[in-house]
Amino acid sequence: MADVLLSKVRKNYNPAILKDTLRNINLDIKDGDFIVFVGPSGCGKSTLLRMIAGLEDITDGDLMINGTRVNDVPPSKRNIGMVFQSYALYPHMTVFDNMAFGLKLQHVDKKVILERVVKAADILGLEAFLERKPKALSGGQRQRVAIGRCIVQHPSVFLFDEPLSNLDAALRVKMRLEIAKLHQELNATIIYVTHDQVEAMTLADKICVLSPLKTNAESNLEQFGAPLELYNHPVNLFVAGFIGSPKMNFLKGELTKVEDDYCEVKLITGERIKACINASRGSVGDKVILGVRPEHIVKADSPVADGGHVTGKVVVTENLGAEFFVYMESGASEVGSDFTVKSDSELDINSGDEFTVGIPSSACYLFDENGIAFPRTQVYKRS
Amino acid sequence: MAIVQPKNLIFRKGLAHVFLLAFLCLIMFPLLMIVAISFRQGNFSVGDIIPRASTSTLDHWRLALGFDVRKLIRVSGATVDIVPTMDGNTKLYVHTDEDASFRNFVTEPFSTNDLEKATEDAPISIIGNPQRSVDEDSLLNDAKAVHDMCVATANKVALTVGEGAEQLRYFIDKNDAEGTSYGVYKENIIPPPFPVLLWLWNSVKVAFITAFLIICLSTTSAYAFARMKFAGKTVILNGMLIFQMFPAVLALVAIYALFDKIGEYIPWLGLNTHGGLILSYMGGIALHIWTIKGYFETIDSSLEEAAAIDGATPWQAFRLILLPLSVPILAVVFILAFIGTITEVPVASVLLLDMNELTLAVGSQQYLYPQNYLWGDFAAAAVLSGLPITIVFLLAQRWLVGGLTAGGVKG
Amino acid sequence: MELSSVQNAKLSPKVLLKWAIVALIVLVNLYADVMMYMNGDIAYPILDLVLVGVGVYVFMNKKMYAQRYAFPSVAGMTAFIIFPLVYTLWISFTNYSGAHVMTVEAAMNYHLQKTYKSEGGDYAYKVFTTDNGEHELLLTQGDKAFKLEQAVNLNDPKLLAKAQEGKLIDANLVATNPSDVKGKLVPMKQLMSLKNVLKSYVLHLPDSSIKLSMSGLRQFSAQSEKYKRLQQGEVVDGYEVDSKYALWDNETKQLFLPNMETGFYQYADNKGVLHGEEYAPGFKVNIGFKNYIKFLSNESIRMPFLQIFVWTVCFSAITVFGTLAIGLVLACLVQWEFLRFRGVYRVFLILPYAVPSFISILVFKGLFNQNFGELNMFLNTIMGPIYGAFGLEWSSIEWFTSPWPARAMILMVNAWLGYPYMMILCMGLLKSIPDDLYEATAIEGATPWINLRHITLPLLIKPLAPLLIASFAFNFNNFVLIQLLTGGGPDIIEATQAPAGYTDLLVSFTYRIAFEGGKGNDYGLAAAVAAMIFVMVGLLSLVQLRLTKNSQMQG
Repeated sequence: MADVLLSKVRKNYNPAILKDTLRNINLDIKDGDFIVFVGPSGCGKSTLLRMIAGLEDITDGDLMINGTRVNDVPPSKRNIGMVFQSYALYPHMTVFDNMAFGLKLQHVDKKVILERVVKAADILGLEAFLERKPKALSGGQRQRVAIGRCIVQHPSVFLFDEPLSNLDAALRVKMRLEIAKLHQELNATIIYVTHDQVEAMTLADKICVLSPLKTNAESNLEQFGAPLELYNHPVNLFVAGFIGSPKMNFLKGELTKVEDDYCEVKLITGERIKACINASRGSVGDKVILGVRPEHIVKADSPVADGGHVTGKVVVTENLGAEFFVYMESGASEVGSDFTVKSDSELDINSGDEFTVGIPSSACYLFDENGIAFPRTQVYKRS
Repeated sequence: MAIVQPKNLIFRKGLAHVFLLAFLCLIMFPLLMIVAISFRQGNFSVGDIIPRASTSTLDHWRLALGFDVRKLIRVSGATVDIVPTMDGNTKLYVHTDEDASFRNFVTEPFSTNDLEKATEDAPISIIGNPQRSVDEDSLLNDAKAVHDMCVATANKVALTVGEGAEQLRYFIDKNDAEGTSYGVYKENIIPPPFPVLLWLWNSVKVAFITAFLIICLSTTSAYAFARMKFAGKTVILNGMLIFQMFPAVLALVAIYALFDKIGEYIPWLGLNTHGGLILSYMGGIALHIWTIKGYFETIDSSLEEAAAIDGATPWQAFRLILLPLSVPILAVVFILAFIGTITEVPVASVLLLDMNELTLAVGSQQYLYPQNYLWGDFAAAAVLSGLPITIVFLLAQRWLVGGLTAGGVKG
Repeated sequence: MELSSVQNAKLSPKVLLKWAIVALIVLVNLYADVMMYMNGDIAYPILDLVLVGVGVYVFMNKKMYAQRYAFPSVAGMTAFIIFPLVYTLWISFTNYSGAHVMTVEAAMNYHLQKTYKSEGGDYAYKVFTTDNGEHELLLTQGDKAFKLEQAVNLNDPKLLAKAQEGKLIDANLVATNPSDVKGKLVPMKQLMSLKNVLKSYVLHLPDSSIKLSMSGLRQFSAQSEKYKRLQQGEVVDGYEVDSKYALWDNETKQLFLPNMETGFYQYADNKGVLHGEEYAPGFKVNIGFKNYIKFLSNESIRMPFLQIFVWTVCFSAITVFGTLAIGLVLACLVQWEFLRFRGVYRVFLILPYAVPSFISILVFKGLFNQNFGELNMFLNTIMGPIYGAFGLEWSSIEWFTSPWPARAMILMVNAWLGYPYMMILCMGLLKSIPDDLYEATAIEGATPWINLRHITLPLLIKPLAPLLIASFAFNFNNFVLIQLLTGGGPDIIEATQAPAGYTDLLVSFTYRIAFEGGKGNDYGLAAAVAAMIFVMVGLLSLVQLRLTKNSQMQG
């Protein structure tokens, strides 16, 4: 199949305004990788995908597919396949014609077309629908047709632009598994855009986190790595906040002690937290932000709560049966954001109560004033 | 919405029906009138407003359809008599003192056997000789025989005088006022005043070709304006809209001069040609471009992107994907352009000169010139030519209404 | 990719053919442009050059791919809307009219064809028919006699055709003896029929430059060219010629110069001062703002112009608001869910829009006819007795000869023609108002009237505003209605300089100035009115564009 290499890619829609959409994107995608672009809306992830597809031109930088620079090659010559968010099935053609359209344009032999379409339909379970128009198909079936349209072309790279966002929750889970299965079967390079981090975490070999470009930022590529690496070792506040659900809690404080394998942070509310972080880059007195994931917070009396305690006022609780969420107000949180606690079991508290939770020292993340992460010395393992 | 309504609803509904019916009567009056007038005799409104079966006539319709109308005008006071000839044939003698040509009118001899073959549609012609003196004694002077002869020859024998275009034909026919007796009638052939069907054909031809070309030009342009990025796009679009509002009437002198000049180099696009007229209509496409552009913008652009990845050129994506999906709006624009062209007057009236080249919109004015006021003939021609266009419009109105408002609201 | 670029670099037959066709188009157009330029045209070659130039550039340049799709329609727009518009503006600065049709050059050539009777005298002539049907021409002056070098058949259709086209026929004369001419003398009566052919003959006397042409029924006379063209810079009679088109009258020995301000030729003294009679044909000259100034200075143009302007604005405004009111009421009724037969009503209400307008307008013209029209017949039969009952006398309404009835008729007919469009628009816009708004007002106890005033109208007016402006502009220029219905009449009697009527709109006024005979086809003046309308319409459309943008942003 194919490698995809992006180096110093930049995109500017309107040269009159010096406002880039993407800047300094460097990615090395290996053959057979399943890469997911995630980021909030407006971060340019779809634009990046469309640039790889050739639907948008590249303002600066190089795009190489299989070692060839393809910046100026039209989409159809790049040997890629693309599944659109809206599926983009041709409404006036049958499923068969939809899948065969590209091959017909290339004047492929009719027998070969039939063979390839039937094979793709077989893989996707679409044999029964070949004569139907897209209108007569369900959302999931349309999705499969859109994928089938790519498969018949034997592309070396598959591009998916938020393919599951138009499906309902149950179907989305099902299609997600099918796509994962398909990747194994085809063993193709897949680049997949989504704003849903669950999709990203479950599907990806490697995730590329993008953020909306700030005016003076060097790049809006925040981090590129394996899912767990992003979860455990986010390079900055943005990635830490973006990966993980519910969102990581951030508490403001200052460094009070810096050791090789741990440090101590005094929150602005006065609570002292010990964290397994190598903060030797900073020094005592520096303003820092402490991060704790809601799912890592334990009861105050838990033996693993060796990092310290945080107290707040309960705003509201949510009981989902399997999970129990507590939203608290803490003086150390950013104004307007809650301190969220996720618990496996129901807790006997009401809104308005004072509530104290424990924090394991190995579950802490620490970021300096600029949002850059300090290296963690331990990774918390839930027992 | 099915909000529970107060009790006076029935009264309000009744009022609405009464109002609508009264309004419709007012609106329909001219249309019903013109249909009635097309069946009325003559060209001036005399007698009944609604034609009665007894006095209604299809003459105006015949003329409108391009047929001659045959009118028989009674030769007053004419008497018929029979002149038997030596060889057993018959001559007819027609006489009246009130008409110079019938002072003494004798036909060539003919065989009474021939009468059996004749019909009203194919009368046999017998040459008549005016001013031929007849020996009073040779007349049969038998009232019964004369009457029988009149019955036998009624409308089946044309008494012809003169030759070629100047030929006049006379017929013997029942005399209504006098019941059973017979009179002599001069045949008057009225040719159609104007070639209505030819005009209609000209109009339809010009409008069809114009609408087709407008579709071709405006879809390609709309595609560029809806989907492509290029310098000056907005300026061109807005400029087109503004220039479209200037009426062609104001520039007629210039348009005339322009086509006079074009005609010097390309005769079939010059003055007095349908080619030139069609060409002149190619300027008026801005509104259509806006309408089609609005529709294109409602079609998901990722369809064409998918086609591009499938290997389609922009032209293929346009032809194979976008066009098949735009058929509804293309039909709307086609019909709007068609009707717009058919009803266009000023440019056509300046560019077309020959009677046979005119379009209906230009030609039909000629019916109502004060010096040649053909109200009845106009009525038939108007109904004949207006009906097909009206029906097409009404059949298409559901889509047209959508197209008009969409184009309007978005444009 | 590499493959394709290699192919492009080679000159494949297809590419060659493409270039050949382009070259051919360019060459043909260039040739035509040069020809036109040589004939004194500037505007047309420029238009052609621009269109062809841009066209070739757009279609041969790969970067211009997008513009290729837009080019044909923009070209059509340029040629048939913008060019006539600019041309019209240009005309408004000239005296182009029925009396000033040609260029100076053409007027000069016309004068150069004139001849006058010069020395050499008159020759009496006789025509003889020879045995083989040909004619001999015998000219005599005193004891001199001449005849045609070769006898001709004056009835030859070819000669007749030549004569009818106004072409001159040259023929040489030879000296002869009257008694040598044989044949039957053609009597005077038959000579009349040969007159036209004889008139086009130019006879050359032998051994002399004197030419003879027919100067009366009985004689040929020696003719000379009346005018001689003077070269620029030449000094004649102490006057240095500064015009390219200056002429010299050979007969009266006077300067004959074009007056570049009035557009006529006039005689001039030896200082070049023009005086005396203006000689037709007139020619086109640039007269600056004179056409516009006429509207300010000339009372017999200004008065009707202002009157027509006011009427045009009133007509458009009344039409727009009248049709809107009718259309809105009908749209509300027809969309009222409790009303039965709504579909049927809708079809019948749209009917006036479905009938081609040129037909319905002419139908109204007939129905309103003062003498034979059905409408007056109705009114007379109904109103006559009613008036009679009160001892008054009812007289037929003069729809076409009195100003106010004519205007009322125009408004009524236009309302009939125009309300369905408004109804259609309102129906579409009413549908786009969400039902839940009315559900909300119903809960608050609103009446239909309150619904209309506080929900429907405010929500309609935004998207409707640009469409109303467009409708105003359309009616402002509603030429067809006026032209087909009243032709502008009844005429304003005080308007002596230009044809103007009480129902004329500015457009039909323009049209009549340009094309209605009688008072002279004054294209220049018409173009000046047109230019003023252009400005007004331009402003209107800018307002419309702004309103459209607003309503789109809100929407």
